[in-house]
Amino acid sequence: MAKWILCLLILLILIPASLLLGSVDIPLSAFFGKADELQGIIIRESRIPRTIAALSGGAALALGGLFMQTLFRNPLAGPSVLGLTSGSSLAVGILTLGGGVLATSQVAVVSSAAIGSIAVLLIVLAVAHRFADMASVLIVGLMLGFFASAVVSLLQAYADETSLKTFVFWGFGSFSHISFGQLPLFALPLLSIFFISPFFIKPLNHLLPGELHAKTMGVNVKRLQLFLVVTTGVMVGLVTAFCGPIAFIGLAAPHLARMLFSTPNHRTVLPATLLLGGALALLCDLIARLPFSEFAIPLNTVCAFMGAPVVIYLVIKGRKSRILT
Amino acid sequence: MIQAKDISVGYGSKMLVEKLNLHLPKGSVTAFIGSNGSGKSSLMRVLNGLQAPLSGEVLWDEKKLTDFHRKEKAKYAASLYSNFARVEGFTVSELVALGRSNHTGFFGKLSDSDHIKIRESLNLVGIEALKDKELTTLSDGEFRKAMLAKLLAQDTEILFLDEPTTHLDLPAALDFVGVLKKLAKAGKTIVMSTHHLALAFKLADHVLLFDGNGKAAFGNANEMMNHELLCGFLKTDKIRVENGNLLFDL
Repeated sequence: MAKWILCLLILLILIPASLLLGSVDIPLSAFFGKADELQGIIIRESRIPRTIAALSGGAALALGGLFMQTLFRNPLAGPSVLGLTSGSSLAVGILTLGGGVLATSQVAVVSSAAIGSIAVLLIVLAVAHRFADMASVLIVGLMLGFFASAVVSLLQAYADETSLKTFVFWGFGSFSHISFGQLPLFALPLLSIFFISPFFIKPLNHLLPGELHAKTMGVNVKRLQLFLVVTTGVMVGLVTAFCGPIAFIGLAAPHLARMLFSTPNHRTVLPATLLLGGALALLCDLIARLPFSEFAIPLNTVCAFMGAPVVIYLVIKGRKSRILT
Repeated sequence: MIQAKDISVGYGSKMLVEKLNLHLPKGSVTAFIGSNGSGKSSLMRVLNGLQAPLSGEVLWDEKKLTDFHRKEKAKYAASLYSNFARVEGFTVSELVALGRSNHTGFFGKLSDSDHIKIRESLNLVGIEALKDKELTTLSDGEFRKAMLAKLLAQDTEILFLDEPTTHLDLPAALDFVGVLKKLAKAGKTIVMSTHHLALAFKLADHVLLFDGNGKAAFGNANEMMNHELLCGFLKTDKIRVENGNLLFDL
């Protein structure tokens, strides 16, 4: 129980911090009707959407990571294993690097990223349907990723400076591109997936000892796999489309949840992953803003700086505790 | 009670079992014996309702398997297959609790009666002392017993055990089979496949021999303990039977 309170407390600190801190500091009083016009606009158009985007986007990536880790029974799986992020990168790459001037509009970037991830998702689903074997799905996802990266490098090699810059900036990742008006389009599908995810706690647990085990426990394994692939695809597609390819949160948050609560049971890990994913994204976003300064650093830089050590620490700590007992 | 009517099992053109008829009464132990790849596991999956036979039908308590709902099957039969993995971070009691999940509600919260059943299962298998140990720290024998306790917590009539004694050292295997004997006496219908010939004959009421080419022989264990049958089906000449004992020529 104390650990749940800790998680909520962290969120209760991070959320106001995310609303108040940034290149322009907003005083707490601004939230209680004392905001001047500029502060009002910053809160409404920047801070609120950004905070909600980080919370829901981080939670979505984390849930996708958890789904993939359980589905492939591989601790290194993340939301990117299905190749969706690479699909988005490729589509955005083709648009920005190959498309020229047209490409600078945000709507175009978002829709091409969505098309890219949906296209990869359809390929992955076709493979899953045809081979019914998750190892092939994993391999196809990874290979599509490599293929997409190769095409992207080719495009980069011949791109002009401006479009290269647009693409690189998209690749940095950011929760700040979503406007207040776009929020429902981004957050509502994610929230509905969070809402139905508890239905899958028991089947996910049965998947832990293996597919055959889940089958013997009466789980419709095919339907479960389809659900996991589709929901992860939708979540990763949406987040990547609006926020760019965000690394490490999806991989690290489920590990953090399992470690903090010392169990792989999804009854605990699933809600904890959602909370910690949201918190981790908020924290990374907050650091990326470099509050109290006029500068900002790319979100993905922070994610990698935070995420990689977390994963290494967890793995080493996990191994140690196992050797000692 | 498990019945098989004219079932054939195989893959593509390879026929492993042809037109087999079986009747395994409640409380009986049946051992599947055959070389690797002879169809033991495939037939078990068919009888378990995890794989469809090429032809014929399987019945549990005179009800066709095809008429069972997926969840209903899991309340009737519990299974242990050799590829079930040790879940990192799970303790023995968490694993055993997983067996209760078809009896619990939406979130899988355990009731008092579930806790009692879990304790009973751990006791019956004799591993209550291990209940807080992590699965990854157990020996092979302890892990199989933990799995067996999970199957018992499922509270089913039938137990399917695919090579449960493989990789166990002799004391652990003897110990494991001893627990199975106790369970059969308590009325469980047990179907297991094994390479442990001597243990199988000691434990089983019925034996099913596979030759891997569609032929199978089924009978009471004492009828099946026969030099010609065993050597013919297992393709060896090194098994002898003397005064109801199995002997191996080296």
